[in-house]
Amino acid sequence: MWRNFDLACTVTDEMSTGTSALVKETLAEYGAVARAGLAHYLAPDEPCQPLYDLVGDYPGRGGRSLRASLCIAAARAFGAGTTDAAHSAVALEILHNAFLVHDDIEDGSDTRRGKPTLHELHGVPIALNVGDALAVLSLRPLMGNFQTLGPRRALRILEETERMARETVEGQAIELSWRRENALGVRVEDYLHMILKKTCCYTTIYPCRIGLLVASGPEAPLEALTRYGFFVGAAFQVQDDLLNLVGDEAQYGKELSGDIWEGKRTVMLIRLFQIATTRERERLRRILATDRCDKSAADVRWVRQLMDRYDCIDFARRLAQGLAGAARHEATRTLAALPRTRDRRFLESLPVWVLERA
Amino acid sequence: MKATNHHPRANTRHRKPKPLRTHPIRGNTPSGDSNGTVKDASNATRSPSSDPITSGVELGYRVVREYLRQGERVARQLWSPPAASGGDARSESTMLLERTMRSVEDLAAAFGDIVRMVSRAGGVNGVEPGHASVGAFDLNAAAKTRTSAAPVGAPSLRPVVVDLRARRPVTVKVELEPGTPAEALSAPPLPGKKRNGAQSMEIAIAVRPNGPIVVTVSVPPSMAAGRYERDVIDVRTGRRCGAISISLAR
Repeated sequence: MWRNFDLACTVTDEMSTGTSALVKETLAEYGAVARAGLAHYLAPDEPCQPLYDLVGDYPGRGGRSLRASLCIAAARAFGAGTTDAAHSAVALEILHNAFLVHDDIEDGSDTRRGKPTLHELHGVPIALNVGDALAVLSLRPLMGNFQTLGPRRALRILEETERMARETVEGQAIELSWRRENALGVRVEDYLHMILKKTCCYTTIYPCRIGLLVASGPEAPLEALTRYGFFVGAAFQVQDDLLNLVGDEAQYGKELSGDIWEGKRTVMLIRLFQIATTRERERLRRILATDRCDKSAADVRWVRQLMDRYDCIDFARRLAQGLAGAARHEATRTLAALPRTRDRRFLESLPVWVLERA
Repeated sequence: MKATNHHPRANTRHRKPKPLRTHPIRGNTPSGDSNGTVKDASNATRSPSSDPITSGVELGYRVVREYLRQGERVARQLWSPPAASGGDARSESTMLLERTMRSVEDLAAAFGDIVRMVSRAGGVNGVEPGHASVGAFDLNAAAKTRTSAAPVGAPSLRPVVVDLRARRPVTVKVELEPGTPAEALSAPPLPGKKRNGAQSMEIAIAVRPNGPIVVTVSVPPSMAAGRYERDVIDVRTGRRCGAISISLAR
């Protein structure tokens, strides 16, 4: 059955689908595979409603399943089948949801995917436990890899997953320490290093690497895909920061200007600090040093207006364009020798979609 | 008369404010330190380009190159032999032999662990390679495009091991309701084609104390291809407590 499915997904250049439509369609299809896996692996082992009802909350709110889709698409582009990559894809998606629950607590966020965050609904202790449970449950599908891929590949993927998770929490630690210490000397280079770890590793780099490992085994040439994953993930993060300021709140699913409230070191804020006057920087420093609950709406508005005045939004937009362009270049270099399947086109189209998404 | 800057009206004219900067800011310069001390941006180091596209890509490559270099360094440390300690060739070869032996032992132990782990995860037990497979989860459910992750077909608390006796590709899926009594379970046999005098496909369910539920499926060669389903019954109460579905390839 899955072999037939694989063939049905192999398309040629003649297919007149726009970039955005192609990406959306692929995300919907592989997202459905991921959701089937999530439903299976997040099903209760015992009647423990207080846990399992909540474990399914964030995954049940939708989301694009970008990580799972990237993993499946990379595996398929390099010659594997959907089934081969399904366990790893589901593990990535569960771990992503675990990170979201904990991130929301760490950031003090109010909304996620258009609804109140888990800790807002049920309190921090319960939300923390749900995040822990999701992180633990993400190991289960990786065990499934021993059946579908054999022990050598499964162990290699386990190693990659361990490094991915470690890099992600290290990146989060860097960002949290910047906020705790009210770091003001953060450079764009520091920011790129931080998002490589915090965002790119588990959003794009490792989903691609794991997909390639599924298809090619432990000797897979991972370096080129790492570069692609970094650039597309970095463009994704900068765009995400932009959407936080200029997006449609209903579509974005989080509160607008939430990053300013939380004092996050985004590209726009870093840029602003570089070019603001000494007096403005001093006021900015005081605002950033204030806890979220003590900040005033007027302060946040002032920061936002200053960003407009100094073209920080445009700076970030152009940075995202540059990063997406580099991602496209890396995709062309890395995927050139592969058959022109829909999965290859998905990987090539992703940098453009990242910039277009609302 | 020509209007000049010296005209009395010139004093009330709106003038362009003095520019905040008179030279380009070449991006990515730290304005202060991590202790919160604000410094003047003009004291900061300059990067080669002010264009965010160019500088972003340059910096991006620098960051990812460094990341890859770190990865290589860690990998080299993990896999390279220890630095020469000045010992003679014989002791080095003995060390190498010992390390090799240890690696082989570790590998054997790891393999044993993996087999045990796969069994515990509800995997295949006693299946010849290429003759059967067990789906870990139903990928077909993807077609239904559920948006909720509400549990469907929740598995039993106890692990289930499928012991498959077949000479062709078979997919077996076992779903037991939560709280299934792990004592006396059964599933009726599936009859084969009568005109050939064929045997039935037997399904035996054994429950080991404190162990997994073992479902043994014996597929006779004459069994027609297709999908078969049988309820799992609690023998003591006659209540249905799950289902087994078996797909036979040609």
